[in-house]
Amino acid sequence: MDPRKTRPPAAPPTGQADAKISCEGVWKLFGNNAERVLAEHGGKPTFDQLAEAGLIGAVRDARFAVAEGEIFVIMGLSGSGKSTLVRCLSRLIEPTAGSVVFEGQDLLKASERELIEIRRHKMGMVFQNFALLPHLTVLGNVAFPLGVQGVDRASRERRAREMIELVGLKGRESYYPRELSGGQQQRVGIARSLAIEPEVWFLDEPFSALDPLIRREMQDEFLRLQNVLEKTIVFITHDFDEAIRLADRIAIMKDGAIIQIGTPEELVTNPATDYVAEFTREIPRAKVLSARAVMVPLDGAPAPAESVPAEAKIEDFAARVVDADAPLAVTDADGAAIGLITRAAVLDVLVRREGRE
Amino acid sequence: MSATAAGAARPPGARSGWVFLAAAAGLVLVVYALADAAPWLAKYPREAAVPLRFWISDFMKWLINEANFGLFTFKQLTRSIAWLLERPLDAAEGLLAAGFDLTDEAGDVVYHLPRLSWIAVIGVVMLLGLHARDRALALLVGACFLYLAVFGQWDSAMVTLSSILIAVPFGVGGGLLIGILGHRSPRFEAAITPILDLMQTVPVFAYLVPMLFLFGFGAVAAMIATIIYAMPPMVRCTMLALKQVPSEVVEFGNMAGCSRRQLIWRVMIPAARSTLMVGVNQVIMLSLNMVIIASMIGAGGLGFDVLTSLKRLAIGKGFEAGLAITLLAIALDRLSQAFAAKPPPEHRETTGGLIRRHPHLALALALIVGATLLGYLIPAIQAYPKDLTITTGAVWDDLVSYINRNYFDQIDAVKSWLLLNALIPFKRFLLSLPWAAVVGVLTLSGLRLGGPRLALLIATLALSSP
Repeated sequence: MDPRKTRPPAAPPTGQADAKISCEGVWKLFGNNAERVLAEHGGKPTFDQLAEAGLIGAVRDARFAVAEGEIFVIMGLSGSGKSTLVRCLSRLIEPTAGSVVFEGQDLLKASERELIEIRRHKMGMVFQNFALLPHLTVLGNVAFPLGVQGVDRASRERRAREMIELVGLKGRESYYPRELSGGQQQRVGIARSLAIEPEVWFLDEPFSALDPLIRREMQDEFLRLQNVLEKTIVFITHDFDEAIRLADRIAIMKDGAIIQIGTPEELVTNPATDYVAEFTREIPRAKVLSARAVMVPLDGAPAPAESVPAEAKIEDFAARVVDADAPLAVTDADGAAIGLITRAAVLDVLVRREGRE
Repeated sequence: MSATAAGAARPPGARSGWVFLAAAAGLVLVVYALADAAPWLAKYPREAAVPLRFWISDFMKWLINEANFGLFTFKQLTRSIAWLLERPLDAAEGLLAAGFDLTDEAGDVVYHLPRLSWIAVIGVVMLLGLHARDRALALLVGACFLYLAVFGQWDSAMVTLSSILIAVPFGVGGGLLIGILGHRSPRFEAAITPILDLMQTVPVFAYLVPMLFLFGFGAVAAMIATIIYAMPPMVRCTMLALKQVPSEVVEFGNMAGCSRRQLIWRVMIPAARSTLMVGVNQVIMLSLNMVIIASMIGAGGLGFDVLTSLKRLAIGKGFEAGLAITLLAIALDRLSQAFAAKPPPEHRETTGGLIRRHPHLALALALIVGATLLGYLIPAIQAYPKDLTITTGAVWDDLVSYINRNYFDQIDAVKSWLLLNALIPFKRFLLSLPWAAVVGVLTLSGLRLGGPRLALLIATLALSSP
């Protein structure tokens, strides 16, 4: 059973106002005189103009908003600037220009002291290579961020034990990181980042250093945790399959710029560029497309008794449609029939004929 | 991008090697050709020599006699630093070498608390070896220390060891702090790098005299000289170690909301432990290097023994003390290296009391207490019995005098030949070189090897030597 089914996807925010964290016109240029070059070109230099000035545009004019409880995946190949972008959101890297609004406050205007407070209490981050402290036990590592805040020993260890149990490492509290496997180490990293109950949770390629079987297991674990915790998540990956599997919405980055933002279904049915289409080509459509995407209008005909919800993925009801003698009704959230789904349409998706013409 | 930058900075290729040689040869020829017309090119004019030594002497005199911070003079400052350093040094010497005198109000000795028993010291270093690595290391350091006892070097060796035990933490701590400052501020790093170079290259003898002036003759002045000499590698190791901390670990520290201090002390220093331990090892070894030299300004112990033997030509005694220094160095080096290479801990079942969890520590404490108590009953446990010491001093003395008696002519012939045919001609040759050509060729070499900055540095240094 896919663990994500139990959680309805969060609605995308309509603007910065109802977003948990958002960014607007964020630029990060590496090289000399970055700010001057940016100003010379009216704040929006092109890729070629940057190259001419000898600058590297790690992040170019990034703009998106993440809703509370949403899993927002930033997907891009190496060198696309995704890791730089996520570091701009927490100001681990100082953006050259732009604004990052977190809970209504512009982070780029926060003082060092304010920033420390925000990071201590509201942000958690998981790293690709775990970044555990080798001299501390599992318990010590998970309790560390609470210790930095000045939480007393008994409370922080109690909290750390809860988190360790949550990620399934109970019994390993006194182990040191080097005694654990990669997957277990990343569980420690996850427990540690959650110990402070962050408002926003950054994950920078958390599963990329793990082998494929463990990676899959950790993805399931991640979705299970998210069902319980409902954090606002910015998740970085270079793996499009992972993005499809986990994301409410995906932003695709190339050469520092975001080229498309959308739900997995939107990206598959409506790729903005050939570059995006290239990623989506190999994706099994039945996993991504919903009933709504392949239904035909009712055209006044009476709705059949048997029905599927409009947001259900084809993979989940394909067998029922194929086995049925007649088309099924597609119902919206209120239970009203809004269309029909035919055996032919489902088969087209399953044999991958859909959307190829 | 960085590759091309490095390529540009690299000295030019093979073709310019010939250009360089031609330029150097040309320069030398020109200077020789001009030697008659301009004799000042060959021999640096005495009047032009900068009287630096007088300036330094005057500055030192001013520093010691007149410098004043308002409330106290410079001399008072240095003497109080010396007083501060003397406390831990006295404590360590009392513990290892001299014992403690307990006095009543009148200042009379009412009771003499003995130093640590030799058995306890050997036992503790062996336990350290066992804790750091394994039995083989324990046996090695045990054997080294046993030599000290059996060959009658114990008293001096413990004086030396106590000064090392105090100098090393100061060297490590000071080096660590300076290294952290260097890591935080690139400008500070740029400022201290040449100073570190200087500290490591200036001959130690050159700053022994100022040490004497500022801190007085004695073990403390010697210890401060030792610390100055031993600290630079720790500074460098610290800056390197902090740079090598994985960037994700630093980012984690920042994301956890560490203040700058928390980031350094709770995240980066522990993560940089193994490289830092290399620095600690260096400080220990350099401190031991200073043992003999520091004895000239008042350090006692093995260095002092070697020095007095040297003055009296007591070859055997000097040899034994020198060997003791070497063995002490080997023991401390292996111990500190083992601690550096010790892998991070593994989890342990934490059941059981303190003794179960820290067996080595418990055993060491038991050994110290037991040996001290038993030492009151059996003197041989307190101090290694004098009758059982062995000395090989006479053997070495005899050997050397035998060689001297029977092979003096041969050795003298070799010595004279070397002196007359190699050393003296070479010295004459160097002295006859015109200074301008030497400075010129050195500067050209600097330009070729390291670019304009090195050339300028070398030119300045070369000019300052006449």
